[in-house]
Amino acid sequence: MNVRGRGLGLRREFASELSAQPKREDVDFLEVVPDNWMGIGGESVDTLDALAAKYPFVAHSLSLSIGDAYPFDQDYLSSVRDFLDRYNIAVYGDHFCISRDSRGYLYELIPLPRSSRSAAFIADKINAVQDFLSRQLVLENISYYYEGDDQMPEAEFIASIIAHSGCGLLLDVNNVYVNSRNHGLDPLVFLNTLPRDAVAYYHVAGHLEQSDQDRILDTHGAPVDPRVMELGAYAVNRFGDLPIVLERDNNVPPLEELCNELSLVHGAMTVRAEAAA
Amino acid sequence: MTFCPLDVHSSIERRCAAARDGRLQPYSDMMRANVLDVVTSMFPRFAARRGQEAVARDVDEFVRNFGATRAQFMHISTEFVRFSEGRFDDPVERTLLEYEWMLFAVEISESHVASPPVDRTAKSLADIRLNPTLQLIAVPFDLEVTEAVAERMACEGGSPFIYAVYRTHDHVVVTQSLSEIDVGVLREMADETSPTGCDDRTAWISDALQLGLAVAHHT
Repeated sequence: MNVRGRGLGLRREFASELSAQPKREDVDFLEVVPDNWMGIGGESVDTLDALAAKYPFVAHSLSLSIGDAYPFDQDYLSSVRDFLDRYNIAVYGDHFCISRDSRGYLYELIPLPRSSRSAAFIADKINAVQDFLSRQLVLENISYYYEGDDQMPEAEFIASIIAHSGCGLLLDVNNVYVNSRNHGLDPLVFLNTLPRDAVAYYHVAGHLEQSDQDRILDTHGAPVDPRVMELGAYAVNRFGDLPIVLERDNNVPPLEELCNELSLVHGAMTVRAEAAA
Repeated sequence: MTFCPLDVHSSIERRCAAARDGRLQPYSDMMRANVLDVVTSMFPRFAARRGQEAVARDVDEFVRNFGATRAQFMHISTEFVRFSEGRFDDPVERTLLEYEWMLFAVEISESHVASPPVDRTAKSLADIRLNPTLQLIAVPFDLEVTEAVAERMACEGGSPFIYAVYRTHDHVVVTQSLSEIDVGVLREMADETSPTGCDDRTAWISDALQLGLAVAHHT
């Protein structure tokens, strides 16, 4: 990783304000979604260029659809590669999911069918993408609300793909928590099944818990739950003091508040991990 | 490239079909909510004109059956415009959708708009060029009037109203009503033909530079 410390998921809601400020001491890097910035011009690009002059970037896209049944989308990936090259971004990834079928793009992250055969197929696709981009791919464990029959446990599935492709894992701690709650799983079993050197960096975010709903939803619309921070500390203890990115997509608070939360979460995960070590 | 094993392929297709058809919750609802959010925020006048229920039906149809080819979420609006081709009978709806999509296209256009020259003394068309983000749209009603008046104007079928949509150097997207003279001059510039007359264009050029409709040639 060419970044460390505290990262903020860049969103349009605060991009202009952040670009107008001097480099903040409480934000070490930004995670940008290439899909939102590539192939466009105008004010957005001026803002992004100004931010790139102050912060290193990592990139995390939404539409790679690594788990679909087709060869990767050459146009899309070429645009991603141009974007990564333009902003000198070494760390790029997406999600362990499907977002395209035989008809076209779905604009949603659909969970993968998990089997040894699908793991092998996905590992091959990852290798092709990594060759094309000349970069390691860093894929995120998603929150999933559907579990097919006879599925391989998620952590075993991810570990198998990593072993066969050499890709990295973007460990989304909130997703581990959400899945454990929704599917009655032990989140520590998930974490302990993954190889210790698997993780490239961490995601944390808030979720929505409603008393009248059976499931909790990964909304990125609320502050990070203390139980997620606790789980994050366990992850830091197991996988190391790696970069942490705070994501917020809905109900985005003022920038100052968001940066305070980033410091709080980073402190909680790293200090508790030190104490546990 | 390794081919997807058949059982994996069918499992993927079944999941995606269920999500499209409304049988895989909460994914089915989330997909519709994503598209609905884009349509109502990117095309507010179109959505208001079409009505909530009709838009919800359009979105459902889009999610169920449409083959979107652009990967990025930000191009859902473009895909919705593709989906809508030949679908809406109401000329006001069609026009509003086309116009609001044009606003978006101009806003994100990759073309760079140069700052206006300090000295705006260009005197001939040879000294200026069209704003590189400029798009023209001919519509059957005045975009400034209410929907009811627009509907009447569209039915009456009078001369079209022509607008220029473009982005200024400081990133403001402008909709500028054009006169016949404006259209004639812009056509000359676009075609790079010789001016049809020896009219003095100085005032027009000055206005065009002021508005951002044109930029100085050397910038």
